[in-house]
Amino acid sequence: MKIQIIGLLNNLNEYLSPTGHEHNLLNFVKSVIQDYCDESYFDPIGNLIVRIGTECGDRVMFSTHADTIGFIVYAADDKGFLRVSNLGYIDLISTIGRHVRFENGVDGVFTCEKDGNKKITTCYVDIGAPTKEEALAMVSVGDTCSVVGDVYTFGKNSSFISAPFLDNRIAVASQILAIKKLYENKFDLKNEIYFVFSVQEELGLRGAGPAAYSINPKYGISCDVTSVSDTPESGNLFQKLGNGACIKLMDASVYCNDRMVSFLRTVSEDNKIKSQSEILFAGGTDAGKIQQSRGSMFVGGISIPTRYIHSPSEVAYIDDCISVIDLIVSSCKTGFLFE
Amino acid sequence: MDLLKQLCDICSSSGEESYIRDFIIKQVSGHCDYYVDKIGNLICFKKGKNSLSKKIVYSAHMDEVGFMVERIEDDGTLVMGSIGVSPSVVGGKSIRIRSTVNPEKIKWINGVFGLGPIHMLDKEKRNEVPLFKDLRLDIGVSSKKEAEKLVVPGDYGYFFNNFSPFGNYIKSKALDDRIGCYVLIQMILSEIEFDSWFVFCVMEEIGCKGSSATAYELKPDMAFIIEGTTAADIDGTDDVSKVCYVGNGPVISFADRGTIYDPFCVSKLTSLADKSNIPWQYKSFVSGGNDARSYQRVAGGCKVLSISAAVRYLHSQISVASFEDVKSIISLCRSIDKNMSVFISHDKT
Repeated sequence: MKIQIIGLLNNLNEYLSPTGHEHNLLNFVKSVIQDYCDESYFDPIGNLIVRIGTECGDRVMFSTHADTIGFIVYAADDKGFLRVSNLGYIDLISTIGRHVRFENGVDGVFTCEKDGNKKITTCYVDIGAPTKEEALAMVSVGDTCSVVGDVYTFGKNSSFISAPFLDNRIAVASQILAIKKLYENKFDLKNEIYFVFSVQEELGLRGAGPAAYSINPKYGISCDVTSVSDTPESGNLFQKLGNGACIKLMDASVYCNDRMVSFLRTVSEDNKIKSQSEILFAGGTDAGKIQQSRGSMFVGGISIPTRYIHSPSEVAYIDDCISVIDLIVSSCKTGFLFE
Repeated sequence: MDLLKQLCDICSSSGEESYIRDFIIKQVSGHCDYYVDKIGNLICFKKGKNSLSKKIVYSAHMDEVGFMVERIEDDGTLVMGSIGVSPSVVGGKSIRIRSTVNPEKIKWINGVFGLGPIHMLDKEKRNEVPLFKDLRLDIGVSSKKEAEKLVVPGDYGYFFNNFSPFGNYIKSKALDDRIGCYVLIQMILSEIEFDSWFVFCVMEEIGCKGSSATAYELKPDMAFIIEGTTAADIDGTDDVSKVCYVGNGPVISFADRGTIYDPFCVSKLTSLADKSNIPWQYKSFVSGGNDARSYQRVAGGCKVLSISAAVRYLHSQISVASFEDVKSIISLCRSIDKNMSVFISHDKT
């Protein structure tokens, strides 16, 4: 499973998916899972929706966002530098000076004047164009770019992994592997299960609402990364790398339903899956929008603890992903039946 | 241009759109079916030469920016709240209030946002912009009792009407979004190819409230939002911050703070504009937001596109736009209507 996770992260790393522009990545994801499900399709806002099970019980919706933070070009200045606006919340300090790539393959550097005011309006992307006209011949207004980097493992037993946009590709990889495992095992399903690869989460959970409205599930679970506090000076969060799949109690967008929380805890105990509780005071996940989309439903979250979220070098613990995949599959196998 | 002037001259802000709505109804009555929903949105359905198996919406908002009487002070001046107006554009200006002191007989009360004379301000204060809570509207009385005879808290305040052509352009209050209303009315008054919905929304300026309801009600397959957007195309602004240029044609957005537009949809629109020989420009900045955010994400969502007129000095007493741009927007909408299959696959019935 470890090899599969690393392999998938490398595949995903071939694609850019800055928020609002997820189609290339999602076309790839569709090609990977379409033979492991009963149906897969795109909805109007661009979510990829995957279904396993046909009319075999109440609907469950897992939602994992496929978008990452990035930049969008709004102008080129007279010296050939591109001006960009942020797509999602960007930590400028850790992003200045980084290698970025555009969807059409053009490479550049996101940077700003050495002694300048470090704001998004004074930063720019240098694509090595000498004039405005040449810059706009290489990249158009409206084009998007994001930071690029390598996938690599490190640490004791190579258990730690770093890659661009573990938020949220580590969860995307986990959801893909959960879909495959669930389909291959041909369990006697007690629910009709939907796996959504949602769009535009980084702009305020925009994709999950329409998906939840169309699917109208009884049970909704978001799969995302979550912050941890096992670094120096990091404060007092409960969850830590290496302690397993996080069962979310709350974040800034949602207070998870207690019956969902106890169900997920029971499933992890019964199946000996390493898990921990998660409480986050900031940040939101798709569960927040799923909960508000229709009438009564039970929502919760399964998260992957991650360090340095929204920086170019996010870090996670591979065994935590394996726990997350197991928890998703086991919970579907057990069946969401609680009222 | 006369119809646009009449639309701009009407005073109707977020929450009291009935005045502009009644006028629009008079224009479109007999040319389409329409109804008014529970919060005041005007929803019109116009039959085209052909039916469509998909639902298309063209949407504009009826409300303009304005003010509201919040409190009457002991000295007879008023504390005003702002509906979309920045405090930096009101100092020293006169406005008028639609007074409902006598609900049977609405009357207009004039007022001035007084600023102290420069002679009496110390150096630091001269460069400060007072907040609305520190500004006072002087309505020419000196006691609370006299003021209470003239206005009621909750009454709306408006910039004075001031529509006129000048140079190559037009100037007026409320170009945002009476331009959009004008475009939709012209479409309704003409013959169109495909059955379409024309929606005049309320309360956009306070957070796209009206369109949330119309998006949920209609659940369209595609929505085109016709707006006014900010142009900062004047000397002194960095080229990269000018956003768009008055007179350079309809402004097409790829992103704003409320919506990321599907890049494939945007390029279909720009290609269509090129093919139809209609000038266009990008909104070269990511700022603001409009009703597209509602249509894209309410209920199951749909694809959206925004087409705007470049408007200088948005949300202030006098904005500037080009009437040629407005005509080009109408041409672009007609082209969209004729080429609907570019945007949606449909079955002709």
